[in-house]
Amino acid sequence: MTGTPQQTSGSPAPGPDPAGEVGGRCDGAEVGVGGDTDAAAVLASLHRPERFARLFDRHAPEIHRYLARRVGATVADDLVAQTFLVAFERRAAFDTSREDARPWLFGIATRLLRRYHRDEVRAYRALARTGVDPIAGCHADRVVTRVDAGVSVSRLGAALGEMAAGDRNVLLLFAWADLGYEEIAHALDIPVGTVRSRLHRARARLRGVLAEAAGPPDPEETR
Amino acid sequence: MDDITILRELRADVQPDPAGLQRARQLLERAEAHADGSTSSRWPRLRLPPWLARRRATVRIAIAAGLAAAVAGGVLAVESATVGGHPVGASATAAEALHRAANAALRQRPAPVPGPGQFLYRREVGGQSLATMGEVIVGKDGSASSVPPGPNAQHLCQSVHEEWQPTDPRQPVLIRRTDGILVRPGNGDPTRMPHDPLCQYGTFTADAEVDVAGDYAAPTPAFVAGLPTDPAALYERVRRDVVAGGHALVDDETLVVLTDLGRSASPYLTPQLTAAIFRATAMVPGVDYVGLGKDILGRSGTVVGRTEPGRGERREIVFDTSTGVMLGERSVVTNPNPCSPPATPCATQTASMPPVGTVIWQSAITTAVVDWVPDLRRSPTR
Repeated sequence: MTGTPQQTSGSPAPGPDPAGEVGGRCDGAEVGVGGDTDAAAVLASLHRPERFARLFDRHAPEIHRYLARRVGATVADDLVAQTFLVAFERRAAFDTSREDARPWLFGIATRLLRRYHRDEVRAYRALARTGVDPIAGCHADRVVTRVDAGVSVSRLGAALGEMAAGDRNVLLLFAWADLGYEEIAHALDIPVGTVRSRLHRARARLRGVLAEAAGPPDPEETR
Repeated sequence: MDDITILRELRADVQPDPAGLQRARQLLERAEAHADGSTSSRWPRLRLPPWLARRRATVRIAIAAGLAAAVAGGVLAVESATVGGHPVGASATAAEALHRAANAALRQRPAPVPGPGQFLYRREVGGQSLATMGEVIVGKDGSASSVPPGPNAQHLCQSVHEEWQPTDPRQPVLIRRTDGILVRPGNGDPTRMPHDPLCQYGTFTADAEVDVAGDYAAPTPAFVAGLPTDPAALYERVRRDVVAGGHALVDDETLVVLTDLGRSASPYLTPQLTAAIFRATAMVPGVDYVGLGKDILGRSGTVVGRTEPGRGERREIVFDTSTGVMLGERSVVTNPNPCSPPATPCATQTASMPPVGTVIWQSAITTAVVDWVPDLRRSPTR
């Protein structure tokens, strides 16, 4: 039902964008500021709990933005708080061989998002039907009807709304959270091969609806 | 421009809200202050998120500039009376019905619970009006784009979600989706119901995730054991959890959580706890008597409900006062245009909300103890 199965090997999906700035990250989140890694902060927080707030200061804006893009700012307010409360409680289980806590935090946030699956999908559906994005903001001047010339956001909404939840998680962790394959696998606790196949399937669907909008396929988009 | 680049532009203007982040940081600081430096790598004792797991797809209205601004003329708002600043809870008629149900619950025998090797079978039947499944923007200037009602606006998207939960938490849960396909959690969207072309965006029955530690919506023996059976203590406990969870609409969320627990049909709920749930519900400000009604399974009962100002709908509970069973939950339109007047800086609202009195979603859960599960290998495939 959900798209044509694709072979998992030789996926045309590219690796993480090293620049990672295409989506306009504007929160200034940094990793390992001043040589003080996330892992060090987590370790320190085992005996000095207040040290955990460093992780919040580094990553909360980015996590919030990811959540807000998926379910809106109001729910994101709740979920970012819950993400860090869960992380704090489970900090002893954090794998300190990993310096960067972002995959761990995004994994918690994504799991918390499951409860809002239906709300998220309804917003995509509303976008697909109306061309107006409920998540884009409350202000009329922020209602975006087109992402880019020739590409209707409603088609993006339709693709995201129809996608299996697992595929959407991988796709949005890749595109909106700027995580790489291995980081997504760690975040979702799934094999890297599964990440590849899900991303491949999700992108195939995305390309399909975009191709419908743009007419004949563009070789650039099928690389 | 490739697909990922295009996707990255979608909602790229969304920015973190400093006030929301500040509140989240304060919650973390509070947790840090209460930590003693010892931690567990097992499931956390902190139980904030799990009880949201069964949040139903009620119409979510984001209020951009404070709730007060959204309380508009024409909105059916239930006033909650206070004495000395403390809420007096439900109306007298609603409270009387709830206490009658509590007394009936105390007369019941405890339900049989699954033993080793057995499964708790859980079936949730839900329905949601198609008209409520898409939102539109209402801008500060009152401009709005909405989906035309159309001939199918009243179409009810119905779903049946079944779960088999083993008593051994190390064993996997099995799910049967509305379309009859069996899946393991994480191996397929449990809400898909592609057989209904009008409802292909999913339904609102329970999510697949089952927290082994239990939560308000899916209580385990350990979770139930940690809950007070004194009504006032239970009410305070739930309210404290709601506040700790950072929710602004505390009364609304308190009713949601109590209803989640009450209607979970969990065999682990003791008669004493069930009674306490009814009595605690009677303490929630704004709960009012609605009348007699039926749940989605057609079971008749008494209905009480509560309207959150600005939401445009009334959450209702259907329960049997003679047996003390919480049957189901539903939501009824009280104001087709909750974001009025136009000047209200309201965020999203439901498109083409049906007329006042329409049931826009409903749900009921039944459970049983079973000895077997269907064979996943013989399930139809997606």
